[in-house]
Amino acid sequence: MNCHWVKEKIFPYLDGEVTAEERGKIEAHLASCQSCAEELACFKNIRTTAHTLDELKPSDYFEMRLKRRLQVTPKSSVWSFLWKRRLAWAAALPVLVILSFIIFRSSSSKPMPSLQVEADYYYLETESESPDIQYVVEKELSNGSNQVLIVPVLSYADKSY
Amino acid sequence: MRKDNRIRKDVKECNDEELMELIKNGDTTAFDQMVKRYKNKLFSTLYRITRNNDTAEDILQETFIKVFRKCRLYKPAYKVSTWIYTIALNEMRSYMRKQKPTVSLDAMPTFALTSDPPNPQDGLLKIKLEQAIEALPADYRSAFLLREVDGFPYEDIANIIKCPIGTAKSRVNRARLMLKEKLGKFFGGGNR
Repeated sequence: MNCHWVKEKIFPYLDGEVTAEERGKIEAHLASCQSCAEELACFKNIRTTAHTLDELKPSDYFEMRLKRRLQVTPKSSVWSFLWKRRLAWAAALPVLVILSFIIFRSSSSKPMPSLQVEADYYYLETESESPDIQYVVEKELSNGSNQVLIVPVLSYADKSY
Repeated sequence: MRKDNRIRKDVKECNDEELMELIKNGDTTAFDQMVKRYKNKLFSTLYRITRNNDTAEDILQETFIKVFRKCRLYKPAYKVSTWIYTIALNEMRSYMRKQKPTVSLDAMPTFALTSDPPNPQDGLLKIKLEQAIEALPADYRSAFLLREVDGFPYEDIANIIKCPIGTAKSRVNRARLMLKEKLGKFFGGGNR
């Protein structure tokens, strides 16, 4: 058993993390090696002194300040988080409703102008799922025109157009 | 009044886990008992890590507020002490991040300790050890204090300082070696 091996094992030994066999070997070595024994003694003394270091105390007013903080600060939770922001929600909701209304009106009530374009095969071959659009395309073709009136679905859906 | 005395006595006899259950049910007496039980131990560790009385006390306060507010998040799979120390060291890291430009754990001035008068027999060794611990790098200092002063097993230290167990052991052992280098002549050690 050499010093190098014992020094490798000195911290596990100190922490009680060696096997019974290893402990026996280490202790046998320590009994005959002053250098290793001194080193272990030093670590043990540091540990013993560390265990007995004075317990420090916060200020005398610590508990009073803590209680005051706990009384002042409400318990936080998801609901209190949302509740704290109720004013923001209350303000945002009407704004969102008004904005949605404006956007809907601007896209649905304002008739889009019809557009006369050169007919191309793309539009002729398009099979719209809307019977109304299909009607427009067929009607234009039956008139013998080579132009197609393209009507946006939303605008055409409005019968007043 | 008689009932209050009986409850207070019961709370004193409760172990940490029982106290946590009472705190979960909103028992402020149990919380007071928990504060009494841990405030000095935690303050000692926080002071020795931060080396600042006010900082340590602020972190201690935030820790207990979190313990009270987050008590429902406590899982009995962990020891209460480990859970509280984990909160405390998280708070400390968070505090230090906010204070980073002005506060460094490795470069802060030393303040006088507010402890009982030292015993003349071992006073010198304690002062030397306090000074040597203070000079350790912050990571080693935390790990050493948790192990050798607070007595946590390595597994708990790894949880508290959020690192693998091997790293926790390595930090404690490096701290021990550094302390031996500095204090060998006071504590009777040879050269490693």
